[in-house]
Amino acid sequence: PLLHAKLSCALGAFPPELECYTNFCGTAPLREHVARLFERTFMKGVEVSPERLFFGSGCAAVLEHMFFLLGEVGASVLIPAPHSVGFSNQLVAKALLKAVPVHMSIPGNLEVSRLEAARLDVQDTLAWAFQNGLHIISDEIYALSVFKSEESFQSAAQLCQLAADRAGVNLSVAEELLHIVWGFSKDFGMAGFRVGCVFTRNQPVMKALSNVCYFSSNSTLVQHALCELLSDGSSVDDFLQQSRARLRQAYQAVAGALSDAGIPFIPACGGLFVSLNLRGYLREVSFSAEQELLEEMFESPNTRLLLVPGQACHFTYPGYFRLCYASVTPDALDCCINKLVAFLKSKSIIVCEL
Amino acid sequence: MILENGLHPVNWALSSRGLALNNAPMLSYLEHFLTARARMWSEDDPAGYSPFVLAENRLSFHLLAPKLQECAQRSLLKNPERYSDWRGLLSLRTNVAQLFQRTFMQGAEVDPSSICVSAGCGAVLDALFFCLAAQGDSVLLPAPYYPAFDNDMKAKAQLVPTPVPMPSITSLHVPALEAARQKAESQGRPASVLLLTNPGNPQGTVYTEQELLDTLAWAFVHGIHVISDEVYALSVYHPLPGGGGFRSAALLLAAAAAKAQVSLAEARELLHVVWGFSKDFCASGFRVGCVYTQNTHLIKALGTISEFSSASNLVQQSFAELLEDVSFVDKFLADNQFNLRSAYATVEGALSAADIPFTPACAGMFLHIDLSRYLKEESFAAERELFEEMFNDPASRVLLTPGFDCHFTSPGNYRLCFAAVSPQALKAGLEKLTAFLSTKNAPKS
Repeated sequence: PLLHAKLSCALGAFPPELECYTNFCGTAPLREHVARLFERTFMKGVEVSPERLFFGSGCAAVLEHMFFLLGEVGASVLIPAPHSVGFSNQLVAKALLKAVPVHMSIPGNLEVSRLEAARLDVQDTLAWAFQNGLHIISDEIYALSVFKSEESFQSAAQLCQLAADRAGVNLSVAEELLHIVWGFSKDFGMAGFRVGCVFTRNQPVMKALSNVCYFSSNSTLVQHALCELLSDGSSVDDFLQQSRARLRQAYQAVAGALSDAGIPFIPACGGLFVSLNLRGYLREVSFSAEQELLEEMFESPNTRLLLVPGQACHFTYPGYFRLCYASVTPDALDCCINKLVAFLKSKSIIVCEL
Repeated sequence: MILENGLHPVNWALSSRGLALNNAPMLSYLEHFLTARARMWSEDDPAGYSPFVLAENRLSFHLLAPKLQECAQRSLLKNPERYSDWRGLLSLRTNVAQLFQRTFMQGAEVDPSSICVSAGCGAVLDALFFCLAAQGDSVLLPAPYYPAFDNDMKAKAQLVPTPVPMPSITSLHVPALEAARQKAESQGRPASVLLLTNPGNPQGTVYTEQELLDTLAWAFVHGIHVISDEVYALSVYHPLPGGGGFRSAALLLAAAAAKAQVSLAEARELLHVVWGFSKDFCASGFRVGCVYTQNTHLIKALGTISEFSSASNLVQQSFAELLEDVSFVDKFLADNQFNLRSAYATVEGALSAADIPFTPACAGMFLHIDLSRYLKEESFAAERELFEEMFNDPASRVLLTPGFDCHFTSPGNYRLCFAAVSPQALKAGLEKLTAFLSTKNAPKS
């Protein structure tokens, strides 16, 4: 709703030639606007030339292209686990690669609480990857959804130089290996618009993308609407600020309720979700018990909650669940959290009695 | 092994699939087109270019735009920002099904769940190629055909396009297809797919029902998947020989199954119709295409990979809303067909007056012209030379699609697209073309 007015305005007047074939990698205005957005926010200090941005119908599309271009059939893709559920389909279904979850001691995608530690982790990881000649895809789709006020997210692109130095490789080589993915789905809440992009400085990759982007190209209408949205930098900043504030509120509501009820969770500082640690509520320490608990929460008439089971995210240990708090209204969220707490309280009572 | 600079050379490169894409240009005339588009003919700039090379219809979008704007505004209020069914919004699939039933699939019952929507027909084809064939399989294509098909099936799915010349460029000849099928089989790259375009590109003509029936039946006998690309179905502007409007291959399913002596169930698994808004609705930039198939396994598979090429919900909903207004759509289609007919008449007139041979067309936005008598010699190199001359010569600056790229068997053939410029620009470009050709060395007898 915060974006409606601007979008509506864009849709009210079609620019000339909107109906024509255009550059399938993204229209020049959209590439320009997004490049400036990156330079202004999570890629400060990085030179983002518009021709290095390639667009597709959502991050799923650009990821699939990248997997196809960078990996032979059957090649392995290392993914710090736990990770987004979607990756498995995105690299297996069509690109035919192999997902290899690499378990970390601190959960990854689901946000560590200290961004500084994360920054060093990323730098170390980049350096290691550069040394081994591995391509790195840094999916930064939540870059602008970090709501902890004293922290600000830094793209891997900003750490490239330091990592290259540490690895003892040329910066130009490092830049050829690092590819950043971002999209409008999460930070702008526009998943249904299907617009994602990859920022790459690797010439052969760029040349190949200029061919395959045709197969997942964005509608000129949508690109035009997004340009309208992005053209006013200060209103974008306003929107992002408001969006982050709402995310923070929602997170705090959840975190507060969980803390009060003594339900463990992994503290977050951004994104749209929080990881609950419900190991104590499992019948036994196994993934099948985790699945049982998931179904109980879903089937139970007074609860009817659907969370993502940790196994789908490749957690090492059973009992973790991902709760997305941004896909419902604040009122509905309140209600859901109450139901969750009530359900878990009743479960723990049963466990104790046993 | 780690190199001096700390780098492992093999990992550093792209995959073989990625490297292959660095070697193949998408289209041989794309650069020319971009040059032409930067300086088009106009009354103020009569030395500008006349791009008759791209199958884009720009004659009628102005009739659609106001309505589409309204629909887009309404769609904004229907939560287009949320994730939805990867196979396409139900509203769009339902209305497209109804459009089909009302027009070129009249008589069939089209179930919306048999339709899968993607970001343009290129995306649809790539997904179909991935699902229907194994890497290295052949795809049979009656030649000449639309140049970009080669990239569509090679770029990602890595299939082998196999042109099948016919006795005449506007007909289908089963013996030719059978010979090609056997040859492909013997060369270890079995033909899993037959790709038909009907109405045809570059011919601008429509196959007879008999030859279509015979072809489908032949394909069914051999278990070959048939993709019928009917993207110009609603751009038929002349009455068809034999009367009646354009009819989809889908309407011949039962008859072809009977002729092939296969079950209807089996036939349903093998026929897939592709259509989109790019041509018939002059909306190439909007990127919405779909496949209609009764193969439930295929629909399921497409559901899994559709997230890699999904059309924007906003655009899907806008078109769904547009299709609700049946009388508006019918009028638009009729007006567009009228505009195509007028443009064709202009071309027909100019070519006839200049005595330039061409294949009469009745659909689409292009036709085939035969400039073989203007070639320096009978070779594809000479054809390319003439193509460059027509483009570069300041008196001409006309861009046509070379026949070589369309897989014509003999040199000197070109595709002339007539709907991408205004009627005035069309006339001017044709004058320049015919004048230029008439000044060339005396035609060979």
